[in-house]
Amino acid sequence: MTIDTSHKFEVDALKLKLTFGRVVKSEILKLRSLRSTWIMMLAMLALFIAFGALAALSTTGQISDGSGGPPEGFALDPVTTVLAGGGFAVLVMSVFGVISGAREYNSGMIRATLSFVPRRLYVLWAKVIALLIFVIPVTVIAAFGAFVLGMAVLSGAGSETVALSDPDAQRVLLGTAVYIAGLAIIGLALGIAMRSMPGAIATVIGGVLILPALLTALLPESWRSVLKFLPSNAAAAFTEVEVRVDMLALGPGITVFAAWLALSLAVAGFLLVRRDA
Amino acid sequence: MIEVSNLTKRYGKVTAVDDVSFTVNPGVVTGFLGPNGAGKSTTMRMILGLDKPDAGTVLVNGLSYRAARTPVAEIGALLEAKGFDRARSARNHLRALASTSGISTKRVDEVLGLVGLSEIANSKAGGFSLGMGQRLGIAVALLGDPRMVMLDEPVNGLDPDGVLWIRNLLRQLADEGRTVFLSSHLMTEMELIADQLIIIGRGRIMADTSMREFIAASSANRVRVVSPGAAELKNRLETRANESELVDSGVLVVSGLSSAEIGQEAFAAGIVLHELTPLSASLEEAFMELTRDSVQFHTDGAAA
Ligand SMILES: Nc1ncnc2c1ncn2[C@@H]1O[C@H](COP(=O)(O)OP(=O)(O)O)[C@@H](O)[C@H]1O
Ligand SMILES: [Mg+2]
Repeated sequence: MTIDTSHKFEVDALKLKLTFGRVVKSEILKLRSLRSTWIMMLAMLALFIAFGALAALSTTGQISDGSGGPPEGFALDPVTTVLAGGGFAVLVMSVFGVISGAREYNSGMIRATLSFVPRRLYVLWAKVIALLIFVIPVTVIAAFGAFVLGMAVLSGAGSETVALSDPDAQRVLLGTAVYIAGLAIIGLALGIAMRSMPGAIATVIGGVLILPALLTALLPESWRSVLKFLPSNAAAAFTEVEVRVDMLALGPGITVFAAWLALSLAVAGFLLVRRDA
Repeated sequence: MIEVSNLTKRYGKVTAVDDVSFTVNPGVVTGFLGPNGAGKSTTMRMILGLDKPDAGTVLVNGLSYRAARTPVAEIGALLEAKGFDRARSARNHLRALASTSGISTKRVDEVLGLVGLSEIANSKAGGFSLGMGQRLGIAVALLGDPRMVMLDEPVNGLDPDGVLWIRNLLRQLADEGRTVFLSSHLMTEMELIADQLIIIGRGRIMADTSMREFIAASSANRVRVVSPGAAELKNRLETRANESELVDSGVLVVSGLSSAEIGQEAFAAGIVLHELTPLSASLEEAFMELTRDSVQFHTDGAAA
């Protein structure tokens, strides 16, 4: 038998080069083509803004718990009040991050992805970028929306407001957006490292969001010097209006939070490259 | 061309692939045949660089696949029929994979037509039958118009039309000079598609030959003898026959001797024969014979 091995397809093949930019496009397309992506973005936008407005209404007494006056537990600081929905936003976006990372392992599509993109770190970085392309605009719009709407509610009731030009307000607004995007990335990294949606969701919510707050509340004061290095506590330096004395200052807070991001991405990258797909 | 050398893969105590070497050449259809659990899928995952071998190397067109600059043009693979997101449409699934290497949406629509999924291309893939999933997987494999196509059990779940279609497709791809490598656990399927045959059993290569040679070698004479003196005949043939087996009292199956030789022997010994029938072994039997000892009867690691 004679075998024709002339590579007549090679000419076209050269055009089909794998590039990082193309992998980013692919990852954006993956997120865009899932309805759940849009639902989560809308949910986050709605929760963040609506909770800020509700919190503003209740501090001004326009919504009351029946006893008149603001319900207990609401901070009276206007910026904190209007960003009351931040906690929900963090929750939604960190889950979104986990799903972006673990979803392909759930379906088995990851093996198709990695056979199209054998350079596995391309996949990790492209997923990070695609995630941020969705998370950052939505988070910024939601945070500013909550701020503007919340302040309008407060000023309408004649309560104290804070202008957008206030340096603390700017720090907290920007900081909150950074914190949310950061936790989405940690979620993504955990999703890839754990390859399981339930496991990674439990870890990011339980381990990163709830546990540090719980430990900080329950453990004796002396533990604070250690606990302040946990991601959510470190982020308090740029997400809270009043930075408490036992927490990290702005500079160290940013550094420590960035270190957590780097660590989680390094672990995810290491496992992605080393493990069988 | 795929060159596999001394490939070994272990999962805990199970050696899924055990020092396997073979070459898959362009221009022909090469079948990778073995019972379930033989190590076919594991070998294919290692060819694509998805699983890391414990030992050995794989070269795809002369280089390690992980280093390929144009991976979609090198090899297109179907590994699992359900490897897509159920919430995404077939078209978007293909578009996402295609865009990693700049494959156009026009090409996406082309392969959708080729595999017969155009009409349902925009509905969620979650509702697909096994056969439709299989077609989507084949579309994925063809996206980059690759020099090599590697399909893991492609006919699973396909209807008879689909099976015929894929046979013709693979033949055409091979005739165009491409390397075609497909796995199956069914000899009957391979018989109809493959030119070359690599048989694997319990992680080891049992045969690497052309289909024609395999057929020739498998049609070794076997003769069925029905006789009241079957047991005595068996004893007399012991030294001459390759193998003889008393399948029932009075029924003997002898291999390695012609019916003439057996008749002569029976006559010499004065044994009465009621039946003397040459049997031509089916390829399926030949394959079963070859891999009989390698089939894993136990699925737990300890027994494997
Ligand atoms: N990811 C895995 N983890 C553990 N064992 C595996 C894994 N993949 C395959 N095996 C084992 O390796 C052996 C070969 O499996 P496989 O390559 O799927 O065979 P085939 O495709 O020929 O049916 C089987 O014993 C199987 O149980
Ligand atoms: Mg298999």
